[in-house]
Amino acid sequence: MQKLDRVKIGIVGAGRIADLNILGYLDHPRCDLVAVCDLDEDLAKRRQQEWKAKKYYTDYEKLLADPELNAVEILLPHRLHLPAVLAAAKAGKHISLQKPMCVELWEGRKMIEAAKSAGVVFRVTENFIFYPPYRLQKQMLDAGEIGEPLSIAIRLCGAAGGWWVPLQTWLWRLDFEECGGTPSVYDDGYHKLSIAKFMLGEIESVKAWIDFTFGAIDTPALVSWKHKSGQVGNWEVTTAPNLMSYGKYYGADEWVELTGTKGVLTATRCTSKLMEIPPLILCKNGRHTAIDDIRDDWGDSFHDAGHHFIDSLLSGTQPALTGEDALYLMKFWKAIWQSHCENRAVRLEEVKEEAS
Amino acid sequence: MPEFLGRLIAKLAFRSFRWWLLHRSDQGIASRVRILRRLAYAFTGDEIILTAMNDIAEIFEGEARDTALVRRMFRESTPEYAEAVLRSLMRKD
Repeated sequence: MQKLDRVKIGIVGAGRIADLNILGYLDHPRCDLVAVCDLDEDLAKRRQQEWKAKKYYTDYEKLLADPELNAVEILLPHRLHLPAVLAAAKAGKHISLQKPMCVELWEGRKMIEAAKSAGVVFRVTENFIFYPPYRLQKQMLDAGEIGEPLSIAIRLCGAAGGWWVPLQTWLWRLDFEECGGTPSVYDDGYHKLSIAKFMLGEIESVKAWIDFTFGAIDTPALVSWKHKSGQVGNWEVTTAPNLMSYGKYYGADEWVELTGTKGVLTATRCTSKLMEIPPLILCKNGRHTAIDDIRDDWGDSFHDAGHHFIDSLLSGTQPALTGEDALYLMKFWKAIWQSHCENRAVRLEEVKEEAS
Repeated sequence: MPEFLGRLIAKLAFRSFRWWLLHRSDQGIASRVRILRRLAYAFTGDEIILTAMNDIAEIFEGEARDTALVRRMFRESTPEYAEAVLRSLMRKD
């Protein structure tokens, strides 16, 4: 893989999540923010000024044709991921694509093949695996701090508070066809599935129960699975609209508990700050150790994910998540949905990539 | 006011509002929301109420697909949950 001397990046899509995805691109010494693109010209202009980008566009085809750029961060609604990635690959730009990867599995496969044919780097931005407490949790797990791992328990609670997101932009996420899945288990859930795989490896089978509130919001839900390595996993999805979460970003939070033969290791937050306790707690030998000397702002995960992309391009290495890893998580979601619809456990190997 | 009476009024108000939402045209809803948002802001002083009602007006001035989704969600909602969401929007626990 060829190394770049400098990363010259363009941002496609300047909506809410761009506030976070941009962080790593603004302070890396070998990265220049060349251009911003959004259909909304006022927004594109505002972001150009805010982020001190050289230029702005309202048509991403024009941004991709800009010879000054060598990489793009794509932050578009899910249904637009495939055409944008194909266009970026054709234009010879290295690609970072916001999760979830795609709507249908064949789209993901097409993206992987297009990037490979074009000889460009392709990765799916999955910031949770860059969240410092989760990374330390994984390091401690691998170092045997809690002995042999037995299980992972993830809890997501949608709560109140956080920044304002225009109601219009919530709507497409609540529409199954537009979103490509459900808002909690698929769209936000992609992060949790990623953490499950990050911590304990590939999945053998899943069983899911998904109820709906307001007809469109997939909570409460319970997803259970078995890892190929024998551990079990559990993910509980709830909503408490009057439970205040004191965070800067979305009004939701999650916590991840790893149980092992010698202890329990819990990361107590990520997106927000529902619980005012240390971000990582180790319980072992009858005592608990609080680890709070660690960066634990959700924004840090986006910042580090951005730096990881830049550093990978500069060193000629493949950044995470690879296309194959990202597609695997899509299969995990498909298995969950199939399990919910058919009311039975589904093995991941049953999920086949459809023909395009 | 006795609590049971307050809950009864809230339930009736929600059901009336839901009937109105399900039976008016998109443009009719948008224009009434635009009129009411200033009154609501004057009454509450809450910026979030103003922003939310602005967004709602824009939704009903926009795509039919979006308004169909909003109507489906209201059809399947309960007064209690709608109240919880409203309080959540207003950042009240």
